[in-house]
Amino acid sequence: MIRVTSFVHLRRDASPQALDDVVAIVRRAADEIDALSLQVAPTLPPAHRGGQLMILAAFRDLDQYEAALRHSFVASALRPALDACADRVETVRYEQGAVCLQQPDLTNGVQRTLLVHVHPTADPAEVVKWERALADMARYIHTIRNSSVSRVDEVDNPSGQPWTHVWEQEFETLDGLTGAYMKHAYHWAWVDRWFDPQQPIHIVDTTLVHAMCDLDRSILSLAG
Amino acid sequence: LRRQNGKDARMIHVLDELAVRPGVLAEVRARVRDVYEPMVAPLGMRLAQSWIAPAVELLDGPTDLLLLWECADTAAYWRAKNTAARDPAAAAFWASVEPLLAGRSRRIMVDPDDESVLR
Repeated sequence: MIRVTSFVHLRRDASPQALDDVVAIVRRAADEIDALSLQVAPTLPPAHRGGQLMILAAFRDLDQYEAALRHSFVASALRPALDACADRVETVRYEQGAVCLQQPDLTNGVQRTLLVHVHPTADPAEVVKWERALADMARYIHTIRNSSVSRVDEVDNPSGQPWTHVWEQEFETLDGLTGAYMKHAYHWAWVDRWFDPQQPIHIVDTTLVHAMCDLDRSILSLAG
Repeated sequence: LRRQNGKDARMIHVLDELAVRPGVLAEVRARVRDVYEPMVAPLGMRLAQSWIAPAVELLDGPTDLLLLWECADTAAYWRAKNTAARDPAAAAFWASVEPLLAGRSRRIMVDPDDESVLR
């Protein structure tokens, strides 16, 4: 499954209506183009570098994704709408990594996306250990209902160094992310070591995108 | 919660294990005392204890310098860690001692009976 996740950063002079307009057009696009899923929602606080809007898309394969890019609605409506109000649209495309599903039928939840850049000098074996430790978070932190670690294939307009990985989780509520996820010892005493520049094993750049939005229905379950 | 050695066990402990090259133990200790300790103290991270192992500085091999830091709780640990992570002075400190070390590790520890820790 091919995933495309975008973060829309509105221009400072964008009208207050701009956000709603883009949301409406993306929702119309979901009806027009052929995609497994196309969801859009405002970025929720306490996001960091996540812009004002998140667009979450899933495609069966690259052919379906490229057909969507060529679709007349994208050219005639979606792109112009974004160009009219967005300062920057940051997008990552990736093949969905292995998914861990605890609640594939999750609806009206919260989706969190973390974009990170792993230093190119990192030992590949250490990178695999870190990826495994991230994936294992769902085994310890039960508010993570569904999750996936993916390696990024393409980045447009990155706000940091080119992102190498996407770590996604789906929660029932925002509290599952801001509460148990942040407070669990497996997070801060174990996984965070790879993120902490004071740790000799750290491999992840300190600049990252940490963003969350409302989720109509589980998107990760489409890869299950 | 029981107390360990008369101290509140409801603490997050950070253990730095520095394998110090022969002949520079005093220099590393001085840099910790003069540079790192005052840098992290305002962040709520306090040096609780230090040891060397073995109990004598070896002439021909690394001597471990163990530094035990403490933070009040999980939130305090996140604050100290995130602030130091963004501070170029912290990175500069570690870069400055790196040539004096044969290796190092940092472990994050809690009392197994501390029920305030979510796990």
